[in-house]
Amino acid sequence: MTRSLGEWRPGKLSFIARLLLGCGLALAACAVALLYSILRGEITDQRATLTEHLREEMLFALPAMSGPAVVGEYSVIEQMVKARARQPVIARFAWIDNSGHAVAANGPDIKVEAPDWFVRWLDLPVLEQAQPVVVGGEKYGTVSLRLNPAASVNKLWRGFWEELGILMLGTGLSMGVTLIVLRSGVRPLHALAASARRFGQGEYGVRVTVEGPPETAQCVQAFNSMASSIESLLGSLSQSEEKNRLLAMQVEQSSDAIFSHDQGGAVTSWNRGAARLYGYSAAEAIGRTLRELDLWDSRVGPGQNAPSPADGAASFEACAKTRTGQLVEVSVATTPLLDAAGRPLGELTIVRDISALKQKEVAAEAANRAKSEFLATMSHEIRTPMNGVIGMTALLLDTQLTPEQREYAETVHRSGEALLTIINDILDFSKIEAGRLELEPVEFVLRETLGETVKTLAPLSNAKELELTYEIQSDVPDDLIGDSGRLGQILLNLIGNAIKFTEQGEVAVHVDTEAVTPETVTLRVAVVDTGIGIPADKCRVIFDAFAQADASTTRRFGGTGLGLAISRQLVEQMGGRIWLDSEVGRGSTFYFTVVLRRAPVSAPRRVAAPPQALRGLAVLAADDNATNRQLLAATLTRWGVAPTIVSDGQSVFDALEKARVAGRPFGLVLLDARMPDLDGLAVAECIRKEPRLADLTLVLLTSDVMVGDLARCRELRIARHLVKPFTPSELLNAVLLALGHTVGGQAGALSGAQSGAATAFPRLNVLVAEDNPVNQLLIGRLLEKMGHVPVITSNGQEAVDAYATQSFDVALMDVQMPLMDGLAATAAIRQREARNPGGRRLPIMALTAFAMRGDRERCLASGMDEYLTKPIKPEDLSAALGRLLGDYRTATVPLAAPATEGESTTEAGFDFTAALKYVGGDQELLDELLGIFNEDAPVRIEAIRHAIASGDTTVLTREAHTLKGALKVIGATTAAGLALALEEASRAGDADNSEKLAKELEREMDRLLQSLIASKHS
Amino acid sequence: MRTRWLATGSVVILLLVALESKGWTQNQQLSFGVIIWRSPTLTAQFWNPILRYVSDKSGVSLHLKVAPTGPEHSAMVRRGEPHFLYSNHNFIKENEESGYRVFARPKGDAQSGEIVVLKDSPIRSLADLEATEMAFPHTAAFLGYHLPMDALLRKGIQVKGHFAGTQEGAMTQLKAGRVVAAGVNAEVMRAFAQRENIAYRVLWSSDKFLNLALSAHPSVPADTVKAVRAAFLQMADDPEGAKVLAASADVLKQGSPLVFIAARDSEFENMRRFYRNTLVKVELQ
Repeated sequence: MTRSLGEWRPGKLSFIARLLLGCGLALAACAVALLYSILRGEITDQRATLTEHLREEMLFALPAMSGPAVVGEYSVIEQMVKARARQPVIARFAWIDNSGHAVAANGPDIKVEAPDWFVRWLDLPVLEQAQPVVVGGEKYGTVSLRLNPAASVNKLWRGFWEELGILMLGTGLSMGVTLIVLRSGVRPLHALAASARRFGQGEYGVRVTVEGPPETAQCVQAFNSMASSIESLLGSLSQSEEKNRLLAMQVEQSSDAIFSHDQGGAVTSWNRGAARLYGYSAAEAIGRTLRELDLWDSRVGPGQNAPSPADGAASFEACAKTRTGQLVEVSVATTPLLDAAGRPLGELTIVRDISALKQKEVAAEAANRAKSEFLATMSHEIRTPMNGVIGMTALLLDTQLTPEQREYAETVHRSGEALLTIINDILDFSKIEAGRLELEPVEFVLRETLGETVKTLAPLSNAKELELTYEIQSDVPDDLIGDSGRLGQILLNLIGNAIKFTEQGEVAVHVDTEAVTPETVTLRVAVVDTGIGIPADKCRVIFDAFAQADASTTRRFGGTGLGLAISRQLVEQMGGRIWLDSEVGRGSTFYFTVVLRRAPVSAPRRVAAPPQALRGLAVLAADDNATNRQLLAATLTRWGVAPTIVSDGQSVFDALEKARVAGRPFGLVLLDARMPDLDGLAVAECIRKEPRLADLTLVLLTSDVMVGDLARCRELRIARHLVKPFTPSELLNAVLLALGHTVGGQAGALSGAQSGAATAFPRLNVLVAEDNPVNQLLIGRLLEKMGHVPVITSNGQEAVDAYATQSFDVALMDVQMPLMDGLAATAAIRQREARNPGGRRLPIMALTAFAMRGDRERCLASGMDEYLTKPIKPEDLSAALGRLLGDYRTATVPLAAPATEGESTTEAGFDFTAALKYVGGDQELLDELLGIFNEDAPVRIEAIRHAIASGDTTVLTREAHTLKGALKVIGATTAAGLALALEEASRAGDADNSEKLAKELEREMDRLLQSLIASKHS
Repeated sequence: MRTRWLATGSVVILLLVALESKGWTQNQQLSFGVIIWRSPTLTAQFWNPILRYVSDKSGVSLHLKVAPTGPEHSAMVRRGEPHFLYSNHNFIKENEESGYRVFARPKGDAQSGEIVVLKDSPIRSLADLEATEMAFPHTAAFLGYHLPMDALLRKGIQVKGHFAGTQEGAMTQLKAGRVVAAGVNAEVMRAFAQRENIAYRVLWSSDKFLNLALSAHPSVPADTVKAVRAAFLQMADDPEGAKVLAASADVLKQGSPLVFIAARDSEFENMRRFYRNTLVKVELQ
C-alpha cells in the first residue's frame, strides 16, 4: 500500500520504522563523526608526513650535495637534483651556487583527483624550504625544496571514499540485522496486540503462544499471566458482585431496620425494615441527619446506656421513636463503618423490634413462675401424704404384726417407695427441664458414700443372686466436696438398672480418676454388668427422656424411663459426661465422669451411732401436717427422745421460750419448710436473730429444694435439710450428722445421753464385715439385741477403711468376701497396728460358712483371734465374744425368753423352736428371716429344677449351698440335710443321685413352706 | 735611457702578462690543493677552518681546492694548478716538473716500511715469499706497498698481493693466516702487535722517509709564501690556531692535532729518488 506524502505523519510510523530511522540517523551521525575524525587524523598525519619528508629530504640533500659542491662537480649536482626531483612528493628541487647559478628540476606532474571543495577543506600547506650548504664554515651554495601535496590530497580523497564506503556498509548491515531481529521479535507482539484487543473485547479465554526472544516471550508470558489473573479476578468479582447483590437484597428485605450514617450523622442507607419501623421511606430518610429524623426516645436513646467497647461496636436495648411518635422497644447493634485504611466513615445500625418478644418474655416469666409454684405445690402436696404413707408403714412394721399383716404392710411400704421413686424421678426431671435443679455441695467421704449406696442395693442383687462388687482405686481422693446425694442418685440409678437388666453374673462398680488437680478431681465411674445389653442404635437415645432400649422394656422391667435422662442431666450439671459401651447379650458398661472439688480437710465420718445415742435429747419439731406430726412423734419417741411437736412457726418460739424458762433448752429443732404464716426458713431466721439461740442446731424438713433455698440454708446455718418423704433411718442419719456438725455443748449433751444409755447396755463397738445381706441383717440384729453397736461393712476393704476412721472393740470378719476377703483385711489391719505400736490390738473373729479342716488354722495364722462357724447362733456369738474379750466385757445378752420347751414342735422338718432360739428368741427377726425365706425358697427350688433339667452342676451346687444356708438358719434340719446331700452329689457330678435328691428336697420344701404358711396363719 | 725605460717597461709588461697568465693578483684568492682524504666533504671540513685562519693571519686569501679522486689530484698537481699544495703527489717522477717547493711539513718522525711474517712462520727470508700470497694496505700506500713491493721486485720475487684497504686490514689478514706475509707501516705494525698480542718477525725493512709536505708553486711570490709559511708554523703556538687545529683533528677523530714545522725541500729528496727509480707502478691516492 502506498501513501501520499500528505498522509504521512511521524506519529504513524511503525515501531520498526522509528527504530530503523532512529538507528540509521544515529549510525549516520556516528559515521560522519567517525569519518570526520578519521580524516582529521589522516590530514594531520599527512601534514606531519610532508613536514617530515621535507626535513628528511633536507637532511639527506645537504650532506649529499656538500661533496660535489666542495669539489665543484656540477654534473653530479645536476644529476642529484634531477634524481631527487623525481619523487612524487617533490614539486621543485634546486641548487643555487654562491654566484647565483641555479641547477633546478621540477617534480612529476601529479593530477589532483579530489574536487576543489575537498582540497579547500583539507587545507594542506605547500611546504617549501631553502637551506645553505656549508662545509667547514664555508658556504658552497643553497638547496631549495618545494613539496607537492597533490599525492597526499589524492591519498586522503581515496581514503575518504574507502572509509565512507566501509561506514555505509556497516550502517547498512547494522540496519539490516536490526530489521531482521526486530521483525522476529515484533511478530509475537503483533499477536500479543491482537490478543489484547480480543481480550479487551471480552474474549477472556484468549492466550498468546509464547515465542520470540526472551524479552518478547516474557511480555507474552506476562500478558498470559495477567490475562489469567484478570479472568480469575473477573470470576471472583462476578461471584463477589453476586454475593453483594444477594447481601444487599437480604439487607433490603430484612425485617430488621438497617441503616447507616456518615460521620456528620447524615443517613446514607435505609432499608425497607427501617422504613417499616420508623415510617420514613428511603427517599425521605437518606440525606437527612439522625437528629432531624429523631429516631430515639430521648429518655433511652443510643449513647445513654450504650457501652463503648474498644472496637466501637455496641449492642444494647433502646426505645425507637417512629414518625408518628410511637415508642417501640428495640434491640440495637451499632458497628463503625471503616474504609480500607481503617479510617471511620460512619456507623451501621441494626434495629430489631423486640416489643413482641418482650411481651412474650413477660408472659413466659409469668408462666414459669406459675409452673415453679405449681411444681413446688405439687411436690409438697404429693410428698406430704407420701411421707405419711411411708413413714407410718415403717413404724407399723416396727410393731408386732401377724405375718399376713406384715406382708400387707411391707407391700404398702414397698409400693410407697416405688411410687416415691417414680414421683421423685418425675419431679426431678421437671426441675431439670425447668432449669431449677440446684446442686447441694457438701463435704463427703467418697468411699463411705459409695459403700452405702452399693449396700442399699445389695438386697436387690442378692435377690437375683448377682455378685455386686465395687472397687475404688487407691489413688482416688476420699475427701471431696459435691452433691453426694445426687451422686448417690446417679449411682443408684445405674447400679439399679444394671441389676434390673442382669439375670446372672455380676454387677461391678469401678471408680477411677480421670484428672486430679490440687483443687479438683474428675471421677470416672464405670458400672459393668453382664446383662442383656443394649443395641448400638439405642445407645445414643438411651439417655434421652422417656427412652428405653425397647418399648417393651418398660412393661417388662418397669420404671419411668427417666432415670438415665436425669442421670445425664445431673452428670452434665456436675461438669461431666455419661456414655456407655454395650454388646447385646454380653452386658453393658455405663461410664460417667463428674468434677468434684477436693475438701481442704477431711470430712467428718458418718456417725454410726444407734438411735439410742439420742436418748434423752430434747427435740422440738414443727410441722403443719397432722400426719407428719404424728410420724415425727412416733419416730422420735421410738429413739428414746422426748419430742415436743408443734404445728406452726409461732408455736416454735413459744416452746423455745418455755424450755428456756424451764431450764431445759432444746438440743435440736426440726422445722418443716412449708408452714402457714411463718414458714421454716422464716422461723430459722428469727431463731438466728436471737443471740441465746444462735448455736441451736436446726434441721429443715422440706418437700422440695427450690432455687435459692440452699444458699438461704447456708446463710441461716441450718445444719441439714431433709427432703420428704423420708424413712426413719434417713431422719436418724440427718439428725446424727446435724448434731455431729455442731460443736461444744451440743456434742457434750449427746455424749451425755450416750453415757446414760451405756449404763443399761454394756456396749461394744463391733465392726462387722459380711457380704451376705441375710447374714448382715442377722448379725446386725443379734448384736443390737445384745446391746452392741454394729458397723456393717460389705467387704474387707470397707472393713479396713472403717477401721482406719473409727474405734472398734472387736471385729467379726467373714472369710469369703468380694474385693478383699477376710484374711487379707485382717492382714491389712494387723499391718496398720504394727505401724502404730502404742495402739490397742483389735480382736478379730472369723465367720465362715464351711467348717473345713484347716480353715481355723488358716484364719488364726492370718492374725485372727477367734473362729465361728455359720450359721451363727446367738449363744455361740456371745460365748465367742466372751472368750475373745474376757469376762468383764461379756454382755448379758438381753435375749427374749426362750419358748417353753415342748411348746414348740417340729413341724414337717421345721424346728420352729430351734429357729427361734437360733435368732435369740427374736420373733420379729425370725419372721423377717422366714419372710425372706418364703420369697426366696420357691426361686431357689425353681433354679434347682432348671439346673437339673439343663445338667448345669455349677448352678445346682451353688443353689443347693445357698438353700442349705437358709434352711439351717430357720432350723429346717431335714431339708438342710437334703440340700447338703444335693450339694455334695452335684459337686461329685452324680447326676442320678442329684435328681433324686432334688425331688426329695422339692417335696420336703413344699411341706416346709406349707407348714410355714400354716404357722403364720395360726 | 729610453731603451732602459722600454726594457723596464717591457719587463713589467711581460711580468704583468705572466701574472695575468697565472690568473691571479694580490687580491685574488690563491688555491690550496689538498690530497683527498676520506671524502671531499670531510677534507673541506678539515681544511677550510685552517685555511681561513692562515688566510686571516697571513693576509693571503686561500681557497681550498679538492680533486674528486687521487689521479685527478695528481693531474691537477702535474698541471701546477694549485698555488699551494698539501700532498706527496708532487714528489713522483711524472710531477717533478710542476716545480712545487716544500716550505713546511707536519710534525713527525720519518717512518719506514716493513715486510713481516708471524713469528712462528716458516718464512725465513724474502726468497721464501716467492709465489706466496701477501697482504698490502692499498696500491697508493707508500710505506706499506710501494717500498716493500719495490724491494721484492728488485729481488725478482713474485707474490700474489691482496689489498686489504687499510694498514690494519693487511695486518689482520696476516694474523688470521689468510696470507703468509704483509707489507706494513713499521710504526703502525708495532702498535697493532702490542694491542693484539701477536708476535711477528720482520723479514725486510726500508729506509726512513718523510711523507706529506706543504709546498708552494714556483709562481707564487716569495713574500706570499713566506707569509703563508709563517702563519702555518706559528699556528700551533697561537691559542686561536691551536683551537682550530684541535677542532679539525676532531673532525677526523685524530688523536693529536696537526702541528706544522719548517721543512726544506731536500728532506724529501730520498722520496723523489725512490719514485724516479722504483720498479713499482706508482698509483697515488
